[in-house]
Amino acid sequence: MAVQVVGNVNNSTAVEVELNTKAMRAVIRPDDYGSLGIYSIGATSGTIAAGLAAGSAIFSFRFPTGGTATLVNVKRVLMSAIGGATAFAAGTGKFELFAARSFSGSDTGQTDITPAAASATSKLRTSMATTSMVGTGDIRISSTNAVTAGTRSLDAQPLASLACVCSATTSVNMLGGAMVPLFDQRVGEFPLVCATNEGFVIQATVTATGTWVFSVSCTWEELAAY
Amino acid sequence: MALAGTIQIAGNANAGPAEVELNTLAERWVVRPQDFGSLGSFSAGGSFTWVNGMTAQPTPTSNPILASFRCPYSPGAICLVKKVVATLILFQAATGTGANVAYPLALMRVDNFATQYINAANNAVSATLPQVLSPTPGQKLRSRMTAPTADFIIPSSAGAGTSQTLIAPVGVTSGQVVTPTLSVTPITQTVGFGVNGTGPIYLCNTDPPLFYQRAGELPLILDAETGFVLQFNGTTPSFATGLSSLVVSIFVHWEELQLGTYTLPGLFS
Repeated sequence: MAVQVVGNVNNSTAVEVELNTKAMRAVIRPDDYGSLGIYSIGATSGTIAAGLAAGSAIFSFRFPTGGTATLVNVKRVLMSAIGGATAFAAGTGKFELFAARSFSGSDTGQTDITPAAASATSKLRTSMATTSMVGTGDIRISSTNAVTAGTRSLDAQPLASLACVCSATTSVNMLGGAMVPLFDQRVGEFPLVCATNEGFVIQATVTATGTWVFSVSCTWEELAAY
Repeated sequence: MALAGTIQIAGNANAGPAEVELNTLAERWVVRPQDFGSLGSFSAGGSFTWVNGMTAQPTPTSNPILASFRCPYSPGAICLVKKVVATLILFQAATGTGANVAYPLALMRVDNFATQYINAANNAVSATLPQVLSPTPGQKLRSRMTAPTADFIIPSSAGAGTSQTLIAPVGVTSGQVVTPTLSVTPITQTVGFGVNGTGPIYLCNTDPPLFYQRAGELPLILDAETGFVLQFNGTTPSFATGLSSLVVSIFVHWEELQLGTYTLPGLFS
């Protein structure tokens, strides 16, 4: 004898089974953020000056202690980059995303893009809590040069690496696409789970002489447990 | 209260029960990653550049290998490869011979993969060691996970006039002799075309990834001493006179699971 599965509040509503495929209908919901939230931020650098040192930090994300959230799940980091008005010495470069652990002191310098206090900035729903990044958390992007390292320990190898083009022609797309996933964990895939004083850093290596601009978009969840 | 003849789905620690949408009649689910138990979920990547030519590739394949990933002998553990993302950028000199030549790039499964092998270059300049992307400290997608055991290497960069580090899988080297076996056909393959004397050409880019199994799809399951290589499969860029270079970046997402405890008989066992 079959039974029907009904809902919680909708406790007289039975779930449907498809007529031909016999599959039960399901809707996928995001992780339960409880009283916290899910956030996204995008930013564009200034014009990066020529001669950036190899392996320079150009984007930094630090989840601090002292906030309401226990964990940050980084779900997605996308990048785009384009050559500027001064061409590169022809060659290639790379962008690498490193997990940053023991991140007790924030990076400094360049442009601080950490969401402001008590604002709807970065929330994917206005009713969500203010992100725990506010206050002692830190998100920053290069304006013209490298971000200055704080106190952190980067993994020996990056979690992700993308080769890029440094063209001798101006205004050439460096990554072969408008927006390229550097870290993109989808349904059923493990996010980068950051405990307090953890985060990630994006480093860039490019050839000499060229100026360039890049953008980064990052989506993360703040949870009490995972 | 639910009607007679119906059931509600309650949780473990959380009573719930799960909700059913009023209009679509769909039950609400949240999809979690694979339960890795006491092991973990990992990601590792790196890049290298080769300038002016490639030397001969050692057996078991004559095609240059650009990355090599091996699941080691770790009793009761397997590797589930979820995603392989590669970018290959080719510059060819104006005097090169690669115009309008197709360069297939393939992901090949390897069996009898007892150990990674580092080959000395075939010219007079000594080779540098490959880059070891795993196992290294880190690569964990959560700090408290166990360190990875997978063996993942890529060649080091080689400038003009220097030799490449060539990598190749080998079988057992003493006692029992076993030949590593590459799959007859690739698991996945892409192709790019060379163009001489113009800007860089993407032979392979990140979207879509070279190998990407989504929720509900079977990952590449690697038992002990199996793995995969990324290699040219057919025509290899042959750098002629002038400056030509190949730039490769690759990263891999994988999980390490323990057999018997967190796997279903007949599925991942």
